[in-house]
Amino acid sequence: MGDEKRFLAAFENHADQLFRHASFRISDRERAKDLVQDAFMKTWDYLGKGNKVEDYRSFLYRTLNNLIIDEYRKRSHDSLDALLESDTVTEGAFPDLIVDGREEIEISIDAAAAGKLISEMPEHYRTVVVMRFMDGLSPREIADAVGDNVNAVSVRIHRGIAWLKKRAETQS
Amino acid sequence: MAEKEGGNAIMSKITIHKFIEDAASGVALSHDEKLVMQERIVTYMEFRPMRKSLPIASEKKYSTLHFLKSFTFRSVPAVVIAGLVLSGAGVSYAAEDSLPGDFLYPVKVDFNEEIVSWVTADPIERAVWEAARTERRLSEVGSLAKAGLLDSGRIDVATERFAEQAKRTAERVAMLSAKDPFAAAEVSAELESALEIHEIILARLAVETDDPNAKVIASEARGQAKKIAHIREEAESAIVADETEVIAMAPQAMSLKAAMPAEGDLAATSEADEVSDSNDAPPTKEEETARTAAARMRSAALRALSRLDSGDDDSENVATIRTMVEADIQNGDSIASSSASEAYRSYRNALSRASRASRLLAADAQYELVLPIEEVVGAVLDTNSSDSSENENGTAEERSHDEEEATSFKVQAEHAIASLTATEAALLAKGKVIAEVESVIRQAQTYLIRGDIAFSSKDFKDAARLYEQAAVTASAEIEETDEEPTTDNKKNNSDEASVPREGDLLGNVIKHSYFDGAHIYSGVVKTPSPCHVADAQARVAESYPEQITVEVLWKEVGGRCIQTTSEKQFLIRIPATQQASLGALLIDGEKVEDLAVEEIDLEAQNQTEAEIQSTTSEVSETSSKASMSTNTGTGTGKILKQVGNMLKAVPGF
Repeated sequence: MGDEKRFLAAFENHADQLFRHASFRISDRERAKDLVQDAFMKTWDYLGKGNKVEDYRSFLYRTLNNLIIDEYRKRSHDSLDALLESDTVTEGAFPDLIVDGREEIEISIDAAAAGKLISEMPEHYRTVVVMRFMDGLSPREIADAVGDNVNAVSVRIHRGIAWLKKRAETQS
Repeated sequence: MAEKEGGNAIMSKITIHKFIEDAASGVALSHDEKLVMQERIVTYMEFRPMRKSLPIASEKKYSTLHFLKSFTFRSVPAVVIAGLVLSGAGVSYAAEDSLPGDFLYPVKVDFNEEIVSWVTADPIERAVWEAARTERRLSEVGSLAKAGLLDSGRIDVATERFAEQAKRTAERVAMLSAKDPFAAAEVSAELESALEIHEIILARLAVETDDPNAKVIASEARGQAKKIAHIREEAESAIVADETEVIAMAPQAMSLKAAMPAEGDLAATSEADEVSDSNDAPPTKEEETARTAAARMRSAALRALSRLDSGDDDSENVATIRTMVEADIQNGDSIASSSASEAYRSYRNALSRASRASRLLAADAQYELVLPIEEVVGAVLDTNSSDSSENENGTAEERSHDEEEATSFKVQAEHAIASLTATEAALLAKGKVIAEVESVIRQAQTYLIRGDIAFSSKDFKDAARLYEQAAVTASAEIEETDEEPTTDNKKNNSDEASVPREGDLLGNVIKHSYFDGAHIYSGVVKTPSPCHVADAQARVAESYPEQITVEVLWKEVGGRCIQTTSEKQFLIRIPATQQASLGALLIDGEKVEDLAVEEIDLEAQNQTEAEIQSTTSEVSETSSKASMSTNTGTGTGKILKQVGNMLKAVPGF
């Protein structure tokens, strides 16, 4: 019984965020809703098998991420290739850059254009940047969600920001 | 943020964080979208529950209510809530069983039930609870009627309490309608069904107990059902369109079905699977609302369907009804992509039917009415899905025409019932009693009473329909079967020996014929269940003339059966000389005493053996009309015929 309550509370708390995340990863709003719903249902199935979920947010993000990847596979998205690139460079973490997020960029574009810009990002950058700055996940959590190691994630975030910065500045 | 001018644009420096936040600002789930998603997830949870039963009993009252608030509280009967609250408090539990007119009754209603009302803050839960209390009032009357306790004093108390409660409920549902029309529509649809069924039950009890007082309350129930129907229609007018509109619902419908597990075939039936997302324009507010309404009503229907429990005896009834309800849901699914409003109506029909069925079956068990399946099915199909305005609108001319029609049907019905009653009396005088005649008379009288109730509420259309139904029911053909007369029976039974029991030979008569070098014996016996057939064997003793002993034994042919006796024919052909005589007839090991042998002269009639099988059985007509195998007897044939009549008469079937 407690499980059901917690599960439904998790829905209350995280559904909006997950939807936003999904919307930014795939451009189709309806499809995004479906994926979020599926993520919850899969989570319920997981619980039904007798498992426990300690941290719903992480679990849900992980599940959603997998569903999104499946979605890309179905669509044979161009950035799939980029996705499959394994960023295993371990040049060392960039903790100061990531943790503060105080990167500044000069822009003169509005929210809609900003959204568009983000949707133009290469998938493997977008995933981590959105998770970090929109969803507020820590690099550790992001690593969990995407199934990669923390260092690689940090690198990707750093590169993603660089990409965004460059694009935003050239567009304005 | 530093600003500097550059060209036409104002450059500002912001953090990545803010940048993304800004980008994200326009993207969100609307309140309704979130609600719909939640409903679907909850429905999914119910289809795949973690445990079979909800662990209610051990919870403290507040945590239970909170649990109920976030989960499918509607699947928990309010009676359980009351039980919990009370067992926690340890007060007044004794009053729970009291009935109108009992000493503790006011404690039950004004204290026990009121406590639950006080602690129930959520408007939906409150409306559900008040609706449950209304049903309780009617249930109490049923119990009184069944116990033969409905005197004028108790009737007054019951009527007053019912009126009070009905008013309270209507208020609550109306209040709910203002806040959450979807929930109000669901609650009122269920309550409406409940009231309609209670009306039927009370009308039936009035017939069974020969007590007109139950009729009074039945009338009240009907009146209240109409009021609730009005409230429901008002709530619905806010959420679904009146006319059929083409409202695109493709992606919603698709993902809903995709998400459902393959429970039965509810998942698979959609033709909308192939519908592409051609609806580029964002849905209008009306469309969104209608979709939400349809989705919520669908999950309500599924909940009601899952509550349709199968007791021991009613598995066949329940299976039939489940199929009907599922058909309604499937119908809704198939039209969901073109019209959310129509889909909503299909789902609401499904909800009504499932609710009616649950209550009918529960009442069946509670009052031991043993309603025959066609009555249950008829009541479930007859959802009065036409708007209540059908009876009220129309010109004065139309209404007086309806009144005339109703009156003429009533005359027909009374005539048919009188005729049937006379037939019954005639049979009684001959020493024969046919159990089914009694049942048919009661069914017809129930329809008659309901017609009277409708008539007195000036619902002439409904009255006409009900009177017609009474007439049709009473006109069902009853073959004169030779059932066991009230003589001493082989089994030492002390109850009415007139009712044929298992192992009885109907009429204590066996038919005999000698044709083409063989003796042919046949008769009709009562088998333990419809899944048993009568198998006749013969032993011919070597002597001259030969002595024949015919033995009839049961044989199970399998399948699921209601455990009630059934009449089956047996026939045996024994080659022997014409002088051979029947020494004894044994049925299930017991010798039939005072056996009468009826001679049929086959030669004269020049019939083949196939024809013998139909003529030697008194129930020939029914059997052959129903085109069943020779082993089928009266019971099933008659029921099929009646079902046929009833289904023809049910509007829209």
